[in-house]
Amino acid sequence: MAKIICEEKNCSGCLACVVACIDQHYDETAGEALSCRIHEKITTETGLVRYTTRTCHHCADAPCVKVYPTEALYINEMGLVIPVRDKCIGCRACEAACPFDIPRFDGEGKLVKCDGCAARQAHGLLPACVRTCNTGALKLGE
Amino acid sequence: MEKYTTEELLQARIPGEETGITVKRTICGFCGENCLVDAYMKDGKIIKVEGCDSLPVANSGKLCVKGAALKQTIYHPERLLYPMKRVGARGEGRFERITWEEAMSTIAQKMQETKESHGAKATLVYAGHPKWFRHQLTELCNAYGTPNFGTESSSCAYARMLANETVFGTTGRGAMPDMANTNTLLIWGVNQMYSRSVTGSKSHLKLEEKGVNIIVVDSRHTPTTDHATLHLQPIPGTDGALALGMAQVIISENRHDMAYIEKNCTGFEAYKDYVSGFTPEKVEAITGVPADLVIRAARLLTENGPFGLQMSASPMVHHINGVQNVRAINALVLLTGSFGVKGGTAGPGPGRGGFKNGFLMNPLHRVDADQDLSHAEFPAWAQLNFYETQVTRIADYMEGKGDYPIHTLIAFGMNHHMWAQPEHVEEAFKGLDFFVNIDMYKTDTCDYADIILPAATALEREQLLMMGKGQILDLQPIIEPMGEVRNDMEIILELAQRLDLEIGDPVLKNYDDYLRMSLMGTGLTLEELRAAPDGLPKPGKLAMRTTEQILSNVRTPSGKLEFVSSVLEGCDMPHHDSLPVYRDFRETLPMDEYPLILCTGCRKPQLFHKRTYRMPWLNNLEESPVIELHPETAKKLGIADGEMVRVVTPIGALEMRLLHDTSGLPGVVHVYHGARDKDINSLLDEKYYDPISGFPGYKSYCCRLEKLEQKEA
Repeated sequence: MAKIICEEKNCSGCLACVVACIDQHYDETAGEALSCRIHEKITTETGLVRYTTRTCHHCADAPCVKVYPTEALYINEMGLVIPVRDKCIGCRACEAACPFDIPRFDGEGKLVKCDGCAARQAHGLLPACVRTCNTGALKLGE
Repeated sequence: MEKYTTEELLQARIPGEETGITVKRTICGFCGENCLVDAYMKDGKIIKVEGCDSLPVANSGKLCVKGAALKQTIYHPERLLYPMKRVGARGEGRFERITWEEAMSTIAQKMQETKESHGAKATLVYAGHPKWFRHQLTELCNAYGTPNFGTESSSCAYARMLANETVFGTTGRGAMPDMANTNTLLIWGVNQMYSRSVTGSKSHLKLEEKGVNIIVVDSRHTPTTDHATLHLQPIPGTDGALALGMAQVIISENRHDMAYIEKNCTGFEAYKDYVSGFTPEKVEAITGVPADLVIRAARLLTENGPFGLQMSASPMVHHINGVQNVRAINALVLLTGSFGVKGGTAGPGPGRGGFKNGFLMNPLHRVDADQDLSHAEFPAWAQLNFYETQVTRIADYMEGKGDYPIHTLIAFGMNHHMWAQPEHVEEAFKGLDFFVNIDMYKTDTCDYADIILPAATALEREQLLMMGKGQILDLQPIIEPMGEVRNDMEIILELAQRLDLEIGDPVLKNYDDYLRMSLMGTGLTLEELRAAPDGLPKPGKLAMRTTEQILSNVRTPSGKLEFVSSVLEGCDMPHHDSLPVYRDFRETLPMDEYPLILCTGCRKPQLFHKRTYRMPWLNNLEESPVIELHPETAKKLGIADGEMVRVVTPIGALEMRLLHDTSGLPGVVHVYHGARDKDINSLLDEKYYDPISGFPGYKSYCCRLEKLEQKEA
């Protein structure tokens, strides 16, 4: 129960998760901070244009981990796919391998990807995005 | 369990002895919601925030998108940290640091000089955001002798409060839906899932889950309308006609509560006659809402009543017919017998808690209020919003186009971009003898001031908070005041002392006095609360109000709920109809030349007026401002998605990117307000306002769109 899932029908597109993720991972001086939650516009059945957010599925058989030439991605004991920034060489092999278009790259060309707030979860804390989700759409699950 | 190194724990901001990270409780303070925050602290600095989940508070563990950026709000490089005085020309933005002593003695001296040369009323005192010190600022105005005290509320909440007073004899605060018991909810023009997303989102979804009939009237699709039983989409500014049409259906189908009306209301016969003309077909022609939906809404509203009416402070009164539109909506509450009853609007139960002399707890009459600058033009305002001046015409007042000129302006958190034609306000600033602005940031408004003072944030001062059902909490500042910032109350009290004036009862000398005064009547002391970090329950039982008490204490002149307003009748002014008469704003506009409706300021989750543009984490989420237009209209005009176009009104023009967006209605141009370089308020007409309330028609003006190549052709 460590993966972050989204009950799409209850998402309002309020974007709190996107900024909570940034706040968790960056200092306030990081003006161009990149969130691990990717936000995109959708049009609902009624015609409402709003944001939706998505992030890493933490696949059990993660193709991104398999293709990695270095140890910049690994699966931890909770089943979360963890990026290791120091070991990322910016080759973008993970981008090509990911079927869900998740990997993003920052100003230094390094991978930015959800780590499921693994350290927080290991200490009994919710991932920052789940903690703040205003509607309760984001949950922990399998 | 996986072992983490100290460095990894620090990086993940995990609290504990190993990292030295602690968690402190504070209030966000970004808007007026008072969400409690758990701030992660390291070496005296905030390194992360999240919603407090250790107390039974409304925001339980959550912060909205704006609150999540709190770190950037507090440590922003444009924070004003020291008193400054202007050294360049007004508007140029050149300032140099001065001492508090020099700043405060200069301000007191200038206020005294103004009073001696022109009379105290030549000083206008203004409060923007935040609101908590307004009562004491009014006391300062009274002691000094000026009736000219105005606030941002004169284009935010007060017009709806005025409208509510005319019908219910109570303000918006006294007319909330009885959410816990209602079976039918009418939400008119509010999208809580953005504007109050932390507390409003979950409660809205819960109502849906409970099977409450939710009717949402909103000219746009929003997340709230997506979770509604029925959504009506009127053209902005036609809401009054829609409400009158629903009333026509209710009365013609005999769905109204005649026994309730006869017992509690006045003016029904005249109202009934008036609404009889608003047939569903006529309403469709005015509002664009299909006739069958008007009928369905009227039936749904009365099937499982009474109904709770949920509205917001301002969206419905940002039209030049706003007060009457809200009165027409409020009349539905009377018609269905929904006011003061369980499951209805303003239902029985405990009153709203609050602190002594807190914001709007005990509104003060002003000295010489009948000589303030707005009373003659806005007589209903003068009676019902007696505690403040309507300052929509602030530029005129500063230029002496009112009964007399304003020479000195003392402003707390003023943002002149909130008014239509802010350029006029800028010109008027230049003619002032003296201008002080107090703010957290060095804003565009500060650039026109002679002295600017740095205000403390909510995190830099001790605060008292009333939580839920009478639990009171004392919150200590969690960071040292940055630079030389002081809180607004300290500034007000020092100013009073320097002017040799006494304010408060008992007299307030310092901030602690203010906190102690706030607690009077709660049965708790400041010392007790300081020693109880999780707060203390307010002793004694909360006063409960019954339906009988509510309906026998209606504060209108007739003592009854009024379909026909005796206050408006007594005003004897054009447009002050005593019935909730619908006047179409389009008849006053040059719609031939400017055929599209310009609707500004509809909420986006990440934006809250001008200040959000300052925070990169919020501003970077999407391009703003842009023009949002329904593709049907865009295609007719030959404008592609993402094309740069010119939006033109009778006042001016701005170039912006246009996005196709089906959220709004065809024919309506939506633009968010407050951007530094592309302020849509520059295109609004400062004379286009509601003659009853003075509120600008921000949400229903006119415009046309021009393709850019037309300019070159």
